[in-house]
Order: sequence, then C-alpha cells, then structure tokens
Amino acid sequence: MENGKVKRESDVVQAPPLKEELKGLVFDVQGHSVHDGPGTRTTVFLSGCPLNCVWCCNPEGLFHHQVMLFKESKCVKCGRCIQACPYGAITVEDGKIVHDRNKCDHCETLECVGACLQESTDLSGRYYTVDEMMKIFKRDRQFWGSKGGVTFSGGEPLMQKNFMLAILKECKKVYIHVAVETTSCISTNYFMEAMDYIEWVFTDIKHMDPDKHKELTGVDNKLILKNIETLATKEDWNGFIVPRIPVIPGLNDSDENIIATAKFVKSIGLEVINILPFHRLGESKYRQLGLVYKFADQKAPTKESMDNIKKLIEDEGLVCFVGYETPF
Amino acid sequence: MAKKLKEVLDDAGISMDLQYGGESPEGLTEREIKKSPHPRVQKLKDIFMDTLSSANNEFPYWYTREYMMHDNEIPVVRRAKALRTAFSHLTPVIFPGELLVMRKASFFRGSFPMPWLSEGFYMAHEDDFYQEALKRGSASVDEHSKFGQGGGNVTKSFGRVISIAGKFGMRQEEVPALLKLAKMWAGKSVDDLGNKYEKMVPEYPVKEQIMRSIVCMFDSGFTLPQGREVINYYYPLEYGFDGIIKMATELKAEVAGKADGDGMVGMNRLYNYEAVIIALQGVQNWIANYSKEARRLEKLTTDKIQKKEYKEIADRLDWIEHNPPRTFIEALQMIETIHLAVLNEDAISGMSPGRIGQILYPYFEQDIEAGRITEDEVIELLELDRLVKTSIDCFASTGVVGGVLSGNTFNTVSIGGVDRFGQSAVNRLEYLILEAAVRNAMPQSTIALLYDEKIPEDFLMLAMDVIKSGAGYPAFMNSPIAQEFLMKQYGPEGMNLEDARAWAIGGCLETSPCAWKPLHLNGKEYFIPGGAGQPTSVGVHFISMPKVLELTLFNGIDPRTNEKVYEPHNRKLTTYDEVWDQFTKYWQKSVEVLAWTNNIQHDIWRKNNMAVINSLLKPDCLDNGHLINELGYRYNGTFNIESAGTITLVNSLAALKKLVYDDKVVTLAKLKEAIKDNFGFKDAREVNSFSLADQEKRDDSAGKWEELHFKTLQAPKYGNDDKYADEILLQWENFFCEDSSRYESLYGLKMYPCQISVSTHGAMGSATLATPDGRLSGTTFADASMSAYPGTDRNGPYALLNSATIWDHSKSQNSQLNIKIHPTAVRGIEGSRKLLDLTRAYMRKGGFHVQYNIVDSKVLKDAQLNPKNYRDLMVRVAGFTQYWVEIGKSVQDELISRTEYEGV
Repeated sequence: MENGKVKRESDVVQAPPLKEELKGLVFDVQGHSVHDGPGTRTTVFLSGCPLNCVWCCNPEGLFHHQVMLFKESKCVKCGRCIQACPYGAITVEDGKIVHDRNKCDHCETLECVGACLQESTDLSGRYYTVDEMMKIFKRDRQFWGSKGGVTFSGGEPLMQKNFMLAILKECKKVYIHVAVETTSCISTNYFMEAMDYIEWVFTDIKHMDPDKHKELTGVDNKLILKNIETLATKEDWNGFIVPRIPVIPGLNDSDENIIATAKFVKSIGLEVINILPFHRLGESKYRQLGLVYKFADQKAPTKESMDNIKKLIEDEGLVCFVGYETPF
Repeated sequence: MAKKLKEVLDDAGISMDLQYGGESPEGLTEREIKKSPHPRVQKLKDIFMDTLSSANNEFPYWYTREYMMHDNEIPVVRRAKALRTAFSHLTPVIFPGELLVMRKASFFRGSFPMPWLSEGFYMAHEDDFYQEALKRGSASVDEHSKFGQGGGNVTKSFGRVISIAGKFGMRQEEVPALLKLAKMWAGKSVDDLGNKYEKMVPEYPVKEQIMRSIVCMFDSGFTLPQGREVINYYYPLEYGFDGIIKMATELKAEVAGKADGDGMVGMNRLYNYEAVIIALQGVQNWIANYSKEARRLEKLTTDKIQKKEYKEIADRLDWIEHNPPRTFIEALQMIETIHLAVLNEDAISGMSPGRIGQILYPYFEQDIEAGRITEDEVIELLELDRLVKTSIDCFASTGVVGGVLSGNTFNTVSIGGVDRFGQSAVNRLEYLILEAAVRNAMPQSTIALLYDEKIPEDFLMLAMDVIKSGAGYPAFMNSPIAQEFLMKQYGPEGMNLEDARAWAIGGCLETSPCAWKPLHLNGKEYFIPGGAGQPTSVGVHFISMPKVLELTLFNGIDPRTNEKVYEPHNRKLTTYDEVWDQFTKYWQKSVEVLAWTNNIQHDIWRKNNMAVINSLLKPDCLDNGHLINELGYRYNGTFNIESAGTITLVNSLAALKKLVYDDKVVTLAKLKEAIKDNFGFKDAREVNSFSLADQEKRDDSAGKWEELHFKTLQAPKYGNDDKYADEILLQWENFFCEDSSRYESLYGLKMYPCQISVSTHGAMGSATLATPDGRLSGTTFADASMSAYPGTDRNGPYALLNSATIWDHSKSQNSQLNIKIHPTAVRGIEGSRKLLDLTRAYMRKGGFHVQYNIVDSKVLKDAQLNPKNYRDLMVRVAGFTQYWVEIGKSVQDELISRTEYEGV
C-alpha cells in the first residue's frame, strides 16, 4: 500500500506566483546530499533550462512552470481525477487513465492533483519564497558540518534570475557556502554577476563541436565555453571549477572529443575533469510526464570505456574523477 | 583567480598526489572491505554458526537440592549456599583452540532455567500452575511474540530434542526432571509469591487487565530481575578472590553483633559477609573444575601446540582462582569468569561490561611496554571475547526473550567518554576493540561510543568505518547529555560530576551510574570506571502508548477483546485537550498500578533471591556490608518507566487534533468506526506481513474508508520539522519526564523515563487496532522513540533530526533514533566524514542516541526469502545488533520498511 503518505514540503498545491512576489519554482530539495560539492549539502533543484539535452535525466526540470506528473503504478483507476478535471482532459482508454497533455499544459489549477488519494497524480514542483528557502537552509546548516553548504542544481539553476540573485545574496550574507551545477548557458554579464556569490561550480561541457552540441542540446556551445573561460581567467574570483562530461556512448565519448575537451580545460588554466557515466534513472519521469524517453535502450558506458576516457584526460596532464568518487 | 585543486584538497586534508580519496588515517586500512578474524577465531566461529541453543538441568538441580536442605538458614546465606553448590557442580567444557575459557552451561551455546524466579511456563499446558499463569495474563504476550525461525534458535521440537521457551533445545529425557524441579518451586518462586502479595494492591484487577490487553509487556521482578546495568570487575582485579574472602572474613569479625546505629539492617552485615564468602567459594570451585578439565585435556592431546595451550589455560585458571591478574590475558580471563558467574546467578539480560578498554588498559599498557604481548595478539583475544559474549544465551519465556529481546543479551561495551578530569578517555586499546569488532563481526559485544567533543577525530572516523562494515555498531551516545541526566537523578544520592563522568551504557542504551576505583598494578595507580548502580530497565516495563490512546477513545474497553481494562471515563471527548487529559489519566493509572505491583515482585526477589555475586562486585557493598537489597550500592534510584510506541502515539494525536478537532473533517464517532473496521483492510496476520506497506484491502470494503484513510495518512507526522506534530512530541515528553518522578520504587527513590522499544514495537503493534495516524491493525509501531514511522519522514534526515531535538533529552534516561542509510551514501573516506558530520550535528543539538543500519533494503528482502544464504547477516534492531535470521518476522518487516536514506 503505497498510497497516501505524508505531505512533503514540496507537495502543497499552490497557485502560481503573482508577479510582484519573488518566488522560485523548485522541483526538489534534498537534505544530506553527499555528491554535490564539498562536505554534506542541501541540494535545491530549480525548474527551467536553456538546453534540451536528448538524454536529460531530470525532464521535469525542463519546464518553466508546474506540470502534472502521473505515476501509473500507483493509480487504482478510481476516477476521482476525471470528475475533478474542469477541461475533460482525462479519459479512460483500454482500462488506462489517459491525459490529453495539450489541455493539461494550459491548466493552472491542477484539480486532479488534489483529487487523487493515491498520490499517483502529483505536481512537478513548488514555488518557494526567498524566506522559505532560507528557513530550510538555516535549519539544515546545523547538520552540514564545516565544509558543507547549498548546491543549486536543476534544470538550470540560474534561469530564474531575480529569485536566484536574491537568494544568492542572502546566502552570502549569512556565510553559506554555495555551489552550482550549471549549464553555463546564460548571458555572460548575469553569469559573472551570479558568480560573485558562488564558490564552487560544476559545469557541463557536453560536446566541443558547436554543431554536434547543437544537435544534442538544442544550442551551440559558444556561450558556454566563453562563460567558463571568462570565469576561469577572472583574476579576483576565488572559487573552484569542476568541468564535467556526461559520457553518453556514441554521442560524445569519442577520443577526439574527449581530448579536445581536455585541451580546452587545460588551456584556460583548470586542472580537473569529472566524467559522469550516462544512466537511465530518469526514465520513469518521462512516463510520468507523458513523454517518450528516446534513451530507454541506451546502454551505460562500460568500465573499460570510462577507464579509457580517464586515461586520455590524464594524458593531457589533468586530474580525472570518475562518477561521484571525488575527494570532496 | 579560480581556486587550484591543491588548495581544495588541502582544505579537505588530502595531499595532492592522491586522487581517489587519499590515504586513510592510522588504523583505517582496507576500507569497506569485510575483514576476517584470526584463523583460531574463525574455527570457533564456524562451530558457533552451526550450534543450536541448548539447555539442561545441571545448575537448577544442584541449586534446588541445596536450597531445599536449608529451610533453617537466613535467606541470604541459604541463597549463597545454593549458589555455591550449583557452581561447584557445573560440568566444565573446553573447546580446542579456545584461549578464554568457561561457559554459562556445559554447551558452546546455551543456558538453563531458573524455576525459583518463575516456574509457570516450564509446566506442561495441562498443568494447573500453567493455566493459572495464563489467566494472570503474563502468558498472553507469548502469543504476540515471534522468534526468528533461523540461526541458533530451537523454535520447534525435533527428534529427541524438545523446544523450550521457543529458543532452547533440551534432551527429551531431561524434561520430566525439569517439570519435577519446577513443581518444587510452585508457590515459592518470586513469580508465585509475588503474585500472592501483589493481589493485595486494591487496583490489582486493573493490572491483570493491563497485562491481558498488552497495554504493558512483562512483569519486572521475576522475568529478568537484574541487568541493563554495568558490571564492576574492580574488586577481583585489585584484590583477587582470596583477597576479597580475606577482607570479608575480617569485616565479619568487625561487625559481628554490632548494629552501628542502624537498628533496621545494621546487624545483617554479618550474614551478608558470610554469604559473600560462601558464594565466592562456589566461583572458585567452578574455576578449579575448569582447570582440572584443562589438565585432563592436556594429557589426552598429542598436538604439541594445543597441549601447551591447555597447560597455559590451567595455569592461568589456577592463578586467578586465588590471586589478582598480572597480565592482559589473565585480566581478560578473570573478566570473562566474573561476567559468566554473575549471569549464572540470576536471569539477566543486559549485563554490560562497560568501558572495558579503559578497565583493561593498565594490563595492556604494561604488557606492551614489557614486550609480553603484541597488538595482534591482543586483537585475537578481543575477537575471542566477542565469541564468548555472543555465545551467551538468556533463559526466560518466549515473550520476554523473543518479544522483547529478539534473543539478544546486550553485553554492551562502551568506548570513548571522558576521564575523571573531563579529558578524552580514548586510549590505544579502544582502537583495537574497534578493529576486533570489524574483524570478528558478531552481535556481541555491541558497542556504544560515548560521544564527547573532545574525542579524537581519527577515533571517530575509525568508528564510522566500523559502522560501514554493516554490523550496526557502534551506536553514538551523547556523553554530556547523559551526565546531565545522571546528575539530576543521582544528585540526591550524592553523585558528583566526577562519578557522572564514569558513566557507561548498561543493556542496549540505558544510561547507568558508575564510579571510579583506583587499580594498582606493579606500583602504578590507574583509576578505572565500573558500574555502581542497581539494574535499570526494571520497575514498570514497556507501556504501549498507542494502546492507552485506543482505550481512551473506546472508554476504557479493549475493542479487540471487548474486555474492560480501565474504569470507563464516560467523557464526551469534545476537545483535543479533553482527549489529552483523559489519555494522561489512563497513563498515570497504568504506571501507578504497575509500579505498585512490580515493587512487590522486586521486594519478594530481594528478600529471597537477592544478588550476592553481582552485589559484592559493586561499590560500595563490600565497604558497607549491605548487598543490593539493603541499598548497598552507591546509586539505587535506578527504577524506570518504559514507554513504547512514542511516535505512533504522537502521529495519532496529531491526526486526531487535525482531522477531528481543528479541521472537523470527520467526527470522532466516525473515526472510531473506521478504526474498528481497520479502514477496510485485512488483518496483518492474515496478510502475514507486519509492515504497513504490505497490507491488503478487504474485498468487501468497497472504498468506504478510502478518503478518510488517505486523510489520516496525510495528517501531520513527526519527523518532518513540522511544528504541528513535533509540538505534540514536546507536550508528551514534558508530561512523561515530569510525571515519572511522581512514582517511587521499592527502594523509596523516585523513578524516571526510559524510552527504548527493544522489540516490543512488533508484539505490541500486533495487539493494537488501527490508529488515527492511518497505521493498520496488527502492524508494528514506529520503532525506538525518536525514529519516524517508516516512510513518513519525507523531508530528509535534517528535518527528522530537527524534529527529534525539539525536547530536552537530558530529562530522560535515554532516547533512541535508528536511521537506515544506503551503502552508497557513505562510500569512501568522504562518505565517512559526511556521516560523522551528520552524527556530530545531532549530538550538538542535544540528541542522545543515534545508530545506523548501513544496508540495502533489497538485501533484507532477499534475506527474508532465502535465510539460508544469510546466516551471518547482521542488522541493527533497536539498540542492539542481531543476526537477521534470529529476529522475529514482525521486526524483520519493520526493518525492511524503515525509510532508507540514499546518497543524492
């Protein structure tokens, strides 16, 4: 019996924010996060992303608004959501609940979520004010230990500009160590402004070839590389940058691309690359969003392949961390 | 300029030339690799794994025979004589390869019944005494207690072996003798005699109902009258047995005929010293018999090395039979002997050795310095010690041993803490204790780390490493919080800060009062800590808080059996405050009647069945001439009131308050109807799973309660940093901690709260209907007292730890928090650091106790299906580590469903 567990902080159904209120759309807050930067951390996942990577493992983070997640395994087909939906978007076909996502996408009230007793219909995220967010950090920081802090992830954490700048300033004010997992694909001015408040940056370099990058993510990599270089060479910035390569077999794991990435990283004075093997853990979320995951059959890279990539990177005179086995 | 990797690694204390986590600190080698014990230990461990628990009648036969001969004798002397004869006739048994010898009974693994405590359950079912016992209600918990079906438990009779108390195998031909012995104690045992007098308490019928409905689990005075305390080895280590006998003889002459101003019990000192001498003679005979056996084996053996070892064993035993030990191995043998002697004196679980690394340090230090022993040899001996401790079995009824203890005997070792002057007490030997605990991972001794900010970082990191080996120990206990509690509770008995610092864990996590004593070895003085108080976890055993709430809602009538438990309150319960008020009234009624009746049982125990051996070991019995029964111990205010199901109660009250009184979405009458109908679900026993997640809907329920059940589950729950629920916990703790001191033990001292569940959350849940928080009938309660109900802590560990520290833990003897963590979340040296950060934060916030199960739930599920493949899988239950296969199903189910924190 999986139904009806206790509410999470993120479970409360809310109206979308009024314009004058500064709120951020957050799709998860995870305490005791141990793989997202130095020490133990609280990781905040923010919605919205400038990229559209074909393999994305957090598809709910692609949206700039709340969306409905449907977990079919929890559905007992009681029909409550069908009755609750004001748009007639939910029907039963072949004994299964089917959503007309075209109708759902315009829905701001999400009555179906409130009607469900099984938690099979859920929201992708919740709007937090800066104060609400800071309240969580203030509680959590008691547990981080001396090296921990907050990591903003996503989606692209820097998408929600006003909210993020406000919260970054608050963090700095109370001495919270901030890390980000960023695409670096935002305007250079804003990127550099945000970095004044950030001490640790994980940034993806998904491909070195601009056309290939565009094919895989929907945008080319010029801005990304420019931002990383600008930050890495900024005289008065004291943070730490960890470039990451999500290794997707057949797409970006060629020796040529790896070497090119390593050479770029070295050329801008950085020393480390963190390679992350592709995984399919996001698959169920695609189903919940009513989307098709094209990578359902994609295999994770073999250990040999990861070892080879590591060697190529090390041959360029860099340090390579594989997966989450990092010394921080 | 962007920071360089080297700076980052330097910050993390890692040198640049290491890329993957760096070099481990000293002693932290072979990370996350299961280590093996020394070959000698492995061989003996193999025997243990294939050995079933056995019981025989040797001890009870000789004890009874001697006791019955002396009806003319003063009780304490009569008892000492019976003990002497029984010890003198125990058949010695030594196994090849052993270095530390002596066993509880003549088996590798086994024990024996003590019908002088309670004879009822040994009787055949048709026996009148058994039927009487059943009527009293003390047997009804047996029906709700389940033993693990695997491992060393003999849960079913086979061949010519009869299963006794659900755990031990006894040879068929011995059973008539057991019944005959048991009958000789009918009407005389602590159980029977206690019952005769407890009936004179006017409220006794309420007690009977309380036991029958499993509002309370177990009487105290005759089940496990001692234990959950810290033993004290000091006197034999300092003076030797001959020395103590000499001392007692001199003191006898000094006090004979003198009351010394104490007209009540002053004269008794003479008889007490006489009893001390007699009992110790029994222990000496027992040691001598083992020595003889070693010499016999020496003659029989052709293997040269084994021959030499038998000789050394015999020489050691000959020496410690009379003298104080001179070396580490002699001291360790002495300690094993004393430990087993105390355990044979009474039915005991939770006789904890205490801060053994600090007690044995003098011998360790001097042996190492003189080159008499190597650290590797010390580790081998410490591994053997774990085998000895794990082989100890406790003999009591199925309900007690299975339902409460899960077969565990809680010989907890404490490490860390501070010394007399408040400095870190960690020493080199304690590092080796941890090393031995990884190499020979067995349930005993469970380890408690007495956390203090002054404890060295590398020691804490090593402890994290041990936790990650998966054995579940060490648990972390907050030393300053415990000291605060001790000062409050024992201040009136004269405890000062120095003694408070000597504290250790008795049983699984009972804060126990201790004291320092000066040990002299080769002209050097060392102050060693040891137990100085009476048993804790005696008095009022586990009261089921959710059951008391159920009875509050149902006007004093148990809806499961339709029997009246309390006098109906006939209140309308129109406000939350009225529910709370009535709940506290029923709670107080239960505690009151249980305190009175158990006081009588313990009083009978102390009159006829008092501890002699355990007493003489503890400060200040030898000095003042009084044993436990005459308040001879330095600290006697140890009786407690145990709660069970704290979080299930808190969640239930939160749901009631929210749904019935604040939001008014359901009437109380309707909610009660739903509870009686189990929210439309089948009974847990029918489903044969005791975890909420596995329960099945009844076909006839037609969704009647679906929406209400959803609302109860969605109501505020403890563990989410939600003040709505957490403040109810605060309300309960403030009430419980204050209220407990209203009750008085038979020793005239105030009682205090004890908040551990051991395994009662399984058995008690089994006898409780659905609860307002959406928990279903028959399923387990939330374990421990600070753990969230499985699956309801949905905002991560930080929110849980914040909820848990809403109240002042120093107001209670303990609190208990179990957390299950997936192995991936603690991988590598950084994983250890992060787990330590989390632990330290909880301690700094004033949490008393936290322990971790580093295990994948998938493994546990597989182990339930294929127990044969998991004979050596260990898990942390509720304050102790136990073999998975030796745990009952309800607790197994609860362990699987505990919220698992994975690395992100």
